[in-house]
Amino acid sequence: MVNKRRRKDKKLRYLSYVSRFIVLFLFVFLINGSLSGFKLGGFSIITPPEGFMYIVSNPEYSIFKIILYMAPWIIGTILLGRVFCGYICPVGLIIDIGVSIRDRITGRKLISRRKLTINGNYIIYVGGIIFLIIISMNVFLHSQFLNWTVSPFADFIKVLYSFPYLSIELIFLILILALSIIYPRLWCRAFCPAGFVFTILSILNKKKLLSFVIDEKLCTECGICGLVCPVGVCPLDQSPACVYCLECCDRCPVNAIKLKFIGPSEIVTSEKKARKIPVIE
Amino acid sequence: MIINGEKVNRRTVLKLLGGSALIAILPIALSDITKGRCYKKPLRPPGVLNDDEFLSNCIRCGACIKVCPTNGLRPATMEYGIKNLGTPVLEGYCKIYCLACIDYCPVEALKKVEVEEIKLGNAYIDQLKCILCMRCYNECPFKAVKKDEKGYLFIDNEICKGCNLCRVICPVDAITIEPCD
Repeated sequence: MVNKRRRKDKKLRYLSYVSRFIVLFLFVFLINGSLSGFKLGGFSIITPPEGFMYIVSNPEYSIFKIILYMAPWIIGTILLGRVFCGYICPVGLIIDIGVSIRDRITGRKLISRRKLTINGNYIIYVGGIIFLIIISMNVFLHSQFLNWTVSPFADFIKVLYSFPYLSIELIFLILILALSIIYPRLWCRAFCPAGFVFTILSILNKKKLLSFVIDEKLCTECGICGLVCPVGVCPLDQSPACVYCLECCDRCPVNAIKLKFIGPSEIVTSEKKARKIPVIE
Repeated sequence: MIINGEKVNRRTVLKLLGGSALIAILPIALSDITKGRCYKKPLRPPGVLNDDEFLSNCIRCGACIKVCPTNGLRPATMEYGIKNLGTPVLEGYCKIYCLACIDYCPVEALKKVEVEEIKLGNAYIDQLKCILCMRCYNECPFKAVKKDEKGYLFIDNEICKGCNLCRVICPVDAITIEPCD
C-alpha cells in the first residue's frame, strides 16, 4: 500500500520533468513565439507580468483585451495554484537539472536553508519590490525596456537567435542557474516577478483543486518536509507559494503526505503547526 | 495585515512602499545618463509606424524574430542602448511582402500595414567605396538602384523601401541604411 503510493508520486515527479521538456521543445522548435507571448490559432496568450506591464506603459490600449490575453494563465493559476512554475516554466527545468547534477557530483542531497525564508513569505518581499520597481520605471519612461528581467521565458529564444554574440539574456540565465545551484529555486521563490504574480493570484482561492493531505496517524512531525521544500514552504501550510514539485511527498520518511486532486484541504491542529519548523543551525 | 497566512507589520509594509518609491526615482537618473550617449539607431521590421509607440507596445517576446523566413531579425544588444534591449532589429534583409512578423505579433505592437506603405529606411551609396560590381543593381527587388550619366550607381529613395538586401550583399560595405521613424 505504502509502496504503491510512493510509486504514484514518483510518476508525478517524472510528469513534471516531461511536461517541462515538452514545453521547452514546443517553444524552441514549433510554436511561433515564446512563453511570454505567442499566438495560437489567431488568439494571443501572454503571461501576466508582461500584461500588467503593457497596461501600465500603454494606457490607451484596451485593458479588457490584454486581460483576455492573460486569461488562460490567470484562470489556471486561480484554480490550481502555481502549477505554471512547477510544470510549465522552462527556467524551473534548468534550475532542477542544475540541482540534480550538483547532487550527483557531491553525492548528497543538500537541504534548502530555512534561514533564507523570512516567515516563509520571502517571495512577497523581494519579488514584490522588484515587480513594483520595474512597473514604476515603465510608467516614467513609456517603454517596456526592463521586460527582459521580468520574463526569462523569452530569453531562451533571444539567446538562440543572437548566438554568436554574448547577449545580456544569456548572462542573466547563467546567473539564475548559478544562484540556484547554491540555493535551489531561490530565484523562483524570492526574485521572479512572474512567480510573485502567480502567488498573489493563488492567494485569491483558498480551496484549490490541488491540495496536500497529511495522514495524522503516520506523521511523526519530524519537519523534513519543510526543510526539503525548494520554495521554503511547508505542506502543512497549504501555502500559495507551493509549486507542486512533490519533493515533500518523495522525501517523507513515513509517506504521510499525499497530493489530493479535488476536495477540501485537511485542517491541521494548531499545536502541530507550532511544531512544524525545527531550528537547525 | 496578513500576507501568506502570517502577520506582517504595518511598519514593514510602509518600508516596502517607501523603498520602492525611492528606487522608482532611479529611471529618471538612468535616462539622464543614457541621453548623452550616441547609440546606433535600430532598423525596425515593417509595421513600426512610430518608434516610441513601438517601444511602449513591444513585450519583447521574440515572436517576430522567430517567424522571420529570412532570419533577418535579431534581438537588439547593448549597442542599440538599454531602451531597445531585446526588441527586433533588422540585420539581415526583409522580403517586404511576406508580413509574417505582423501576423504573429501577439499584442499588435507591429501594426497591420499595406505593402505599398512600407518604408523602413533610406539607402545611400558611398561613391568612394563603390567598386561598381553591379550586385545591388542586379539584385534590388524594386529596381531602386539606378545609373547616372557617368555610370555611377545611386539609389532612388522614392522607390527604395529600405529592405536591407543591398547592404547585406554589398562586398565592400559601401551602402548605409538610415532608418526612418
